[in-house]
Amino acid sequence: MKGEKRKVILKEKKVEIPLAKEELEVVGKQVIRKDGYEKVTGRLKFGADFDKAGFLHGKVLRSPHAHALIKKVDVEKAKALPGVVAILTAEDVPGRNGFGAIIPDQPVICGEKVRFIGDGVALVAAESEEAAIEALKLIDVEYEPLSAVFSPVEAMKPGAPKVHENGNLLTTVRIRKGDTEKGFQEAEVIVEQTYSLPFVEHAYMEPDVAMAIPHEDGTITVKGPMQAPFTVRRNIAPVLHIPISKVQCVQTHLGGGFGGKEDSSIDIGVRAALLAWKTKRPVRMEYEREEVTLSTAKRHPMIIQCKVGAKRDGTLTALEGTIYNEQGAYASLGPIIPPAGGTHAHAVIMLPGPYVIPHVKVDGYLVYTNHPYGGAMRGFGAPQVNFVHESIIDELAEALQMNPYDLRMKNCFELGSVTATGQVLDQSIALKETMRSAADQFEWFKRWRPPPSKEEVEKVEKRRGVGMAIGWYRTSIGTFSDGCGANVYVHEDGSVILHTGITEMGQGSHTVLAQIAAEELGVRIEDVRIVVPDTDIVPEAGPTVGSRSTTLMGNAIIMASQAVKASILEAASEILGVPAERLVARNRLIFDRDDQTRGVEFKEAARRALATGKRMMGQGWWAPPRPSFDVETGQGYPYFVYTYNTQMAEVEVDTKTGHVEVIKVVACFDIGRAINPILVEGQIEGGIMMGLGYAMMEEVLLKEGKVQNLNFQDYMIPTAMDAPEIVPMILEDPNRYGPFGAKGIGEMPNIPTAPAIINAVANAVGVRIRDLPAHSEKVFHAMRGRRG
Amino acid sequence: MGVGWPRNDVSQAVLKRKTFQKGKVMRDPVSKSHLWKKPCWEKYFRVKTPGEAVQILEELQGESRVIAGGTDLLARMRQEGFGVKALVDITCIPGLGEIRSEDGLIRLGAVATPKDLSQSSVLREKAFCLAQAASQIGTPQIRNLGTLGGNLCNASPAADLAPPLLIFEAKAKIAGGKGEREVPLDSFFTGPGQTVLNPSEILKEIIIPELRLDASATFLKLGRRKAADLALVSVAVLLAMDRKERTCQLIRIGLGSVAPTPIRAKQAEAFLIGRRLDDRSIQEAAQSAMRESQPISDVRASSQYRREMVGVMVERAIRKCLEQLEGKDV
Ligand SMILES: Cc1cc2nc3c(=O)[nH]c(=O)nc-3n(C[C@H](O)[C@H](O)[C@H](O)COP(=O)(O)OP(=O)(O)OC[C@H]3O[C@@H](n4cnc5c(N)ncnc54)[C@H](O)[C@@H]3O)c2cc1C
Repeated sequence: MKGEKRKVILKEKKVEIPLAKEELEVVGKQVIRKDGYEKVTGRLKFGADFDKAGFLHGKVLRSPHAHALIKKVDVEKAKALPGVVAILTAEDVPGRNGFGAIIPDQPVICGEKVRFIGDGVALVAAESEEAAIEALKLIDVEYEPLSAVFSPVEAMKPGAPKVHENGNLLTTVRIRKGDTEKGFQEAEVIVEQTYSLPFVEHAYMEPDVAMAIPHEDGTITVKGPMQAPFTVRRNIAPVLHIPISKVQCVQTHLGGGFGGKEDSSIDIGVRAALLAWKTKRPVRMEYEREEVTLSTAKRHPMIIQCKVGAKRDGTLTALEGTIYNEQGAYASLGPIIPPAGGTHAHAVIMLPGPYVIPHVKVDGYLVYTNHPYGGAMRGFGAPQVNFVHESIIDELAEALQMNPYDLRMKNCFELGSVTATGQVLDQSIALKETMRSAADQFEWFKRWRPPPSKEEVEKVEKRRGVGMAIGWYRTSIGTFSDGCGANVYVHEDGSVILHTGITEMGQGSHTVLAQIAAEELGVRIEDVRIVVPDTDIVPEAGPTVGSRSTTLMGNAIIMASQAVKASILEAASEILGVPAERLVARNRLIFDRDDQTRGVEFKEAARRALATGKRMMGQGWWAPPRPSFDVETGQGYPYFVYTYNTQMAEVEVDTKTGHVEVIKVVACFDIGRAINPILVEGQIEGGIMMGLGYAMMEEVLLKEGKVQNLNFQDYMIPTAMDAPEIVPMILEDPNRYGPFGAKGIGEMPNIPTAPAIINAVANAVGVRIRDLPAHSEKVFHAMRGRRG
Repeated sequence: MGVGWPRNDVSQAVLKRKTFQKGKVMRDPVSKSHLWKKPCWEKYFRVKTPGEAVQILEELQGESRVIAGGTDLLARMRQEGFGVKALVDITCIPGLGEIRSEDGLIRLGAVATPKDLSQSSVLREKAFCLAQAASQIGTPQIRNLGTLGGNLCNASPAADLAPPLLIFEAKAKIAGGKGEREVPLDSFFTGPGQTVLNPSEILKEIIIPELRLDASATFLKLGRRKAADLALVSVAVLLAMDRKERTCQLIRIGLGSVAPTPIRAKQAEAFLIGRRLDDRSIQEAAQSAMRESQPISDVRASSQYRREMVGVMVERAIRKCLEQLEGKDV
């Protein structure tokens, strides 16, 4: 039965077939979002909506230099300005002057030198925002500019300006599988290319805010839109030189995060906390849109050389890749969190794609430069490398004169396949099925034809083409600290409170997690209330990243629910005189499995449980099977399960202007189990739009280290008018480690979109764009320059 | 007012914020470029007549600004970080947003919004390409808030309403201390962000002269995405032809975003007039328009691409007019 089966999942962490869909009451249903009403009616408060009264206004003075020594900071004039309460420089930091999601290498306030345009050199707190801005202008900083480095390739050369003391090479990750020399000897066709990917801004709608409130007892509260409140707390404590137990981080509803607010909430949170700590007054900080673009983390730019070899029949024999991954000024989420966490390791692991390749060699270099820094952004290194493997597979198909679908089908993962890291994929893998379903829906074989000649293109004003891409994406972050906890409290009226540190940022996690709790307890979704994540109250949950929330937290919630449910069933057993093992809880009722006419209301049982002194709370803690990964050989089991996806796109290219219109995208996913299908579709549609932006228009433009397109007048993201017809499709090949068989969906949808579109452009007009974004002008020049 | 944001509420919202800091503040493009300033002003006047507006503007010479929708002005004040003593809101002047057809002329009030223009039956019937251009400005919010006068007085080379008005040879009616004057739109723009208006004048009305019934006009805009973007190139073309000979009787070409101001491609026009409209002549006219444009390179596109696109868009616009003419019964 359901209880027993799930116990096996949790204890042994293996084999279990989830329940058939029909048996479930809440899971798999399209329930109404928990936060839907408040959001739609505009009642919900975002960070910036909280009352400002009583708060000082905090501001950051930012470096105009990409690389410079700080010679002198004169704050006297600024201090004298009426309304100014404090001006802080590096000496004022009581503890560690550094923060960072992995390595605390970013100064809270720069003391000796600045490393990018936007680095913080002083903090101001004032009674009014105007006074704070005025004060910034009065701070006199003397810099000695240093030569700067703006490319990862340059930064790796001997003699390059050193961004950090220990040199610019931050991390190297390799994969060594088989013998690529041999593999390329066996190959009959070899394709080798270089691709490059730009810095991309998350463009979350809500700019960053933090409110820091110091208390008399030496504790401090920081509130704001945090994607990972525990990471913020972990950073504030050492900066203030106090124990973690004295820092409380409380999440406000996020107006979008996409990985960005994992980093930026540390940045703004630590600084607001420091100002509040020093002034002993509540301090509020809010970054302007331009400040967000200028100074917070972005998607890593990469330059990737890739080479693949295949037999005439399309069988892949070898792949080699070199990744120059630009970290920018600070480490953020780039480096390794052992064994396989961090953007860089993930990018390296994902570069060979979801293909069986006997010989693989990848060298990935993560390099500091004097640019803004790369961090987590939806896909965590995968969108970049997916663009590469899905482009080069298409280029190989062209060289082999094969249909790109057939080439993929021949080589891609299936049950039992071994990855480039030596991981055996022994469950929950329906990649080929997603290809077949997408192809049926899209009518791939009817629509695909080989790319046209230059003459054929020039004859018409508009030409259509189709392209596809496939992908895989991990659930979890591949570190030992992936564990997360949940508390479930049942009250005497049958209502439930759920404590979880997973944050709601629009993706719908809180609805999905409430569904899991309701299903497991046997109550309705509206009976479950999730409290706002507050590090003083909720157990450690890790960050809300890595498409991990539903799966990892879902399991913790099942454990917690089962623990408290035992009391309720025990009470019901006392009332009904039926052994607890025979009782089933469903839809606010508890009844005898063998005699369904005998039952009691859930709340009745809950009342008795309390009255008879039974335990009214349950705790759960779940961590995935231990990951393993060796950074030198790239061998191991870095992540315990993967989501798989096929996307097919149709585009229409204006042959005279280069403008690309995406007509249709069909996207099919194997996500194990859709706990809430409509939210899954929401993730798919939103993700595809983000991928479309990556393909066609998004790019942070930099000139001598300075961002040229700071706001949405110049930084282009797609609008609703640019949206194609999107057909989301869901397949469910259950994940034995997941709650009800679920795997992650948050990041996967935005990954294969860009290569699918770019492959379609190549199919339409015969030119291949190898550096994103493929905006009209680039496509235009490519068509112009096409030979033959 | 339909779905739009009620005018008065907007002014009210604007009224709440007013802290004034004197003079022009910082504009140090490198070191302080992260200090975005909230727009600020000391006084906010909501006037009821053009005369009242002119009077206040004269009194506070140079330290006051007209505000209509504010969609350009407030963004600019924030970006460039300047404050003013007074803002003079002209959107509540009765009749200033009217669109009328009168004695063969079309009169467009300065505070008519892009939404008003795009939905006006007068324009849809007589000057459809202006309605087309208005419907492609920004976003629904911007189209509800912005104004015709603001679009023109802001004098951006990318102002979408300029090219269609240029091909209609519209006139600007200007009110000032010394009474009213009329200026052809052709000579209204004097540079990027600059017009013939002096600081105490306001634009009251745009007058479109009588249009030939047998002419066809069209507007095309090329952006980086399908909506909410400024034009990389915009083109408006007005065309009439001799049906028998297929010769060009009337051609006007207006271009946006490719010169310091919106311009007419007069050489291209001169080339085409009297000529047979065929592939070659159209292409040559398009080439000529390319040569007449002097686009810049910026974060949005290179000058080379913009110039190439002038050719493509002019050719397309002429062809579209031709198609329309051929579909038209006379
Ligand atoms: C997100 C966004 C998107 C946009 N997209 C487009 C677009 O696609 N195409 C486009 O062309 N524009 C676009 N704009 C610019 C702007 O919205 C339009 O130009 C609009 O028509 C300006 O009108 P307004 O009434 O808001 O001008 P305001 O900001 O009120 O005024 C602009 C300037 O004109 C002066 N002024 C206004 N009216 C008068 C008058 N009657 N007499 C004298 N001086 C006057 C003001 O003093 C000010 O200097 C966009 C703006 C934004 C913010």
